[in-house]
Amino acid sequence: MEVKEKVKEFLQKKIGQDKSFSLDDNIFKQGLVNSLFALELVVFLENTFSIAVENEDLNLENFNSVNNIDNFIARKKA
Amino acid sequence: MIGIKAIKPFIAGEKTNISSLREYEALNEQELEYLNSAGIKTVYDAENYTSYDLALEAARKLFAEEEITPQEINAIIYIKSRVPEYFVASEATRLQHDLGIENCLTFSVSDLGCVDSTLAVKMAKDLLISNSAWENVLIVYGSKKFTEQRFRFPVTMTGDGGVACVIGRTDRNVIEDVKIESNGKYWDLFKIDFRNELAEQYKEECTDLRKYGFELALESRNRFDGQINSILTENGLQKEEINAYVMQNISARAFQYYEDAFGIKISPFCKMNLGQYGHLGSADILLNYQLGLQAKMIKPGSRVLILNNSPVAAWSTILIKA
Repeated sequence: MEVKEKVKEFLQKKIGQDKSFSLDDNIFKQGLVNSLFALELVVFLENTFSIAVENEDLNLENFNSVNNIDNFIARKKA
Repeated sequence: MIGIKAIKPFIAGEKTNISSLREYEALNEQELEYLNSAGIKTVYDAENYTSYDLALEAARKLFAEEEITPQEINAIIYIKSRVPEYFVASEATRLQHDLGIENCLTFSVSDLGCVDSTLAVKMAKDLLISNSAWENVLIVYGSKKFTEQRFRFPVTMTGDGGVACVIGRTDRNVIEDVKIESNGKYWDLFKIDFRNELAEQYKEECTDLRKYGFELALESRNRFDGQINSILTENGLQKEEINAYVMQNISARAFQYYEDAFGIKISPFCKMNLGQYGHLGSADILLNYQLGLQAKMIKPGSRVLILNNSPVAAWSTILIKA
């Protein structure tokens, strides 16, 4: 499964199966800005893609859409 | 060895259910949802006591109930009030005077929010190390609401209360290590504009909710992770050898966050203090540790990690052998 598919599947579960969003939609505008969600998302990305999210990575734009997360993972893996 | 000799809380005024507070009715749906799940049931309203009064009374109570006299204190570290009573004047030396201690070093620590208390503990230990004739350092703090609103969305609810603590030469509650660091990037994440407002109009604002809920939350995970790993490694300890984790009392959600982040359990006495006192700022970690001792949930010889952070932003970890 590609990065985008895995991320979308994770986010879909969190946002709700009945809600649709595109790969460019800002997921934080779906009302998910809280520390517990942030932690879940980051731990999911670290465990699924074997990366470490460090302090210098903590820019919301790296994480606010499926496409931005995909780009972030690609940069971390480069 | 240098450790905690005594801790005394001073709580005054009426215990008030949070839903009885006048501000409760004015909260919007989002704020109500947050507050009702914060794990805070009551706070104490100390009415006419100022933050200085609460600190002073805590110190007086400590001297009245413990076998330490004011004359045995070599230094006082006053954790500065978030909103002092006067500009220019010194609350630290006022406290020295009011306690009748005419010959000791007195100064304040400030600007690290809740982490001021960790800095005070570290400075007390370092002062005792560098002054071999000294026996005791007194740390005092008073927490008092600093605006008309006790609720600090999206963080916590502030209660009123004071604490006094003596750090000295003892083989109990030994302060084995302290890690402390800050990041100035968040210096104004929370602030109160006072120059253009009357005191009753003061309102604390969170200038960037996303920065607080995302960036700072995750940076806190990373910072604590680094501190915990280094404090364990440098002291030859494994995670399994830590018997209790103590934190400051922000909210049930914050406890849950750190429990999930590190796979630990925050000690239940922290949740008890959160429930009845709300957030007492810098006093929290000291009051929690004291309750852990009093309830015999911290046993002699056990190892305790005290995690303390602040949105200023600062992070700290203390390793204690009880």
